[in-house]
Amino acid sequence: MATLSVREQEELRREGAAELGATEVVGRTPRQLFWVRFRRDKVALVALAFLVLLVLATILASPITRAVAHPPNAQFPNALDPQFGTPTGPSSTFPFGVDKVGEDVFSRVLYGARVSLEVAFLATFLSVAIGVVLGMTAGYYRGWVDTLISRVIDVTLAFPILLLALGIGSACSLGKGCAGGTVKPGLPTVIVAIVVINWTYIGRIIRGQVLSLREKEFVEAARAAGATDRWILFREILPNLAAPIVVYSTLVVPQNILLEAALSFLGVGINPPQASWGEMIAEATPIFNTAWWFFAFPGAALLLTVLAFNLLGDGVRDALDPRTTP
Amino acid sequence: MTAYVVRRVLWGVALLLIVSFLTFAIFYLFPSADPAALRAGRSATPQLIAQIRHQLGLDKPFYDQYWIYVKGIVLHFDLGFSYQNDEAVRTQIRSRLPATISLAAGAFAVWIAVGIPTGVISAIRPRTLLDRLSMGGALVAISAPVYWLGLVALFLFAKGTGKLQWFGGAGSYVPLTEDPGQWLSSLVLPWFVLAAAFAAFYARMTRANMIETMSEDYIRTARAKGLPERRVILRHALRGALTPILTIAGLDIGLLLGGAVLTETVFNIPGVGRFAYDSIINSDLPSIQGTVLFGAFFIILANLVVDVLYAVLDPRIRY
Repeated sequence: MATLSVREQEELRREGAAELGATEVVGRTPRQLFWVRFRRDKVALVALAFLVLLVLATILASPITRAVAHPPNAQFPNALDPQFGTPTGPSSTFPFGVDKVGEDVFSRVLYGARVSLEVAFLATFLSVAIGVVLGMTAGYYRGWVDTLISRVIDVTLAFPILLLALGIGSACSLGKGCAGGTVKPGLPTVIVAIVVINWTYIGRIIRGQVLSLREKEFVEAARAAGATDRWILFREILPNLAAPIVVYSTLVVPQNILLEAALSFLGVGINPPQASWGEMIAEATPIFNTAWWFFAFPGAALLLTVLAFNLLGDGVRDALDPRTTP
Repeated sequence: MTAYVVRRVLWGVALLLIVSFLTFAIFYLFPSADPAALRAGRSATPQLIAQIRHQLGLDKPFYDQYWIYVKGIVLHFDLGFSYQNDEAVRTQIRSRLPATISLAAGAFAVWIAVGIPTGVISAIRPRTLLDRLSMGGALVAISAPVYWLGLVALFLFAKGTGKLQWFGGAGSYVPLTEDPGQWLSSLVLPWFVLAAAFAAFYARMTRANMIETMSEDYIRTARAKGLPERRVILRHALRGALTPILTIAGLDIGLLLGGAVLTETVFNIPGVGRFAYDSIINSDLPSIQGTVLFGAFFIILANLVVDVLYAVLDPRIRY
């Protein structure tokens, strides 16, 4: 605690004063409270910094590879072992080594980050959006709408998750895609497979929350004031769901990254030549004992990214939990 | 109570029917590839494809096909025939079941034996170095993809391919009935790899639940009675902490099956998961349908058992 800045000391002093009921009470919005708590979690801050760097690296992937490495799909047969034509390990020109066909593993790992982050954000956003809307509808209107949505959730959760995703993935990876070609193989298929499964978890949580929120006085007041259902749902109830939505989203992002990688590893997700961490590990599996760098680096990247999201999620959850002392 | 159990069983059966319908629909409506063409093989004449389509009943309307499929399952426990080699899907699943059970049961034992004690030790010494190390380790285990852990384990510890050459036969599974020693040594690495994420998750859950129960009144009472701390922790606190974990057991069966697909693929274990993977690679639709249904059956069964157990254990649950 010796390294607190003046501003943080001031904040701590005020908090202490507020707790003791002293005269100097500063009102704080929930968002400010969140920041004060979150900033104290050093591990979560490091994880956040890592993820920001990762996002920057994927945005700048092409200048970076041009400066220090090679384009992701360019093949360098000269980099293969001259005698056996096998992949060669890390060197000064290829920091992570080369793969079977002489592609730069470093560049492919960097471009693979793009896929992981795209899936992480897009699939999470879509499943949360669908889950929130359907969960709110079920909880607010109750009756047959609720029964229908709840039963759909029950049925989805009765599937073995990876097998359902594999099923959708394989059905959509044949030929031109599925549902009449609207869902193309590759990234869209992976996202559809994830969203179909994942919206149910948040849908169930939100439904439960709304069931109790709809009985609260402020909803009654809004209704008495003549508010429409849509106003009540989106202007009165939705803001109260912010905390569970944020907590759930941080929980599901790392799971989505792992699911994408697993699908690509099993060959029904992202297909070569596009680089993806799961697909790279799959390619590396048959030669894992001769070319360790080929599976080690994409796997380590995957592990670090998922770990960072998990640590960030833990930090966010703790900071949002009203039971933790500010 | 009986009425409750009957109602739950009926809902389980209904669920299974809906799951079978959806699985069927996914593979009927989604693929743009033609199953008859897949079945016919590479160089097939249009006549042959048409003939196969008729044989498989693919020229019948959707509901007729589904009706035949369900009737086969209900009356004969018939899951259809593989496109790959004409073998019955049921026989294939049954012949691969022992390998998957060996893998899953061993992994389950490892994850309970590692996960719960780790959680308890962390909970009674919170914020110590030991607690931080084990919870940090748990988070790493949760974040690691299981198939990658498998490769790392093979690279480091397996005889033949690894650096330390500890476990022979990893990557070449041998049935228990053939050679128990070989069976054990081929499964040690897969058990630990598959169990890692589950053990880590259970350790985190146990720790969180234990810390909460340790502040309950009945723990104070137990201590006030003068019970030894060991008994307070094991008999009173741990019991209270473990009941909520029971609820997620049903979901874990589904996750375990997913983990088995990946683990069996990496370690080359000829189990149901590996079968599902091979079926998907070969676009063998009846086999994929069969394994999905088979998995769903276990999830529904596990959820049913958990619900009933819960109703027995917790008198507050209405039925």
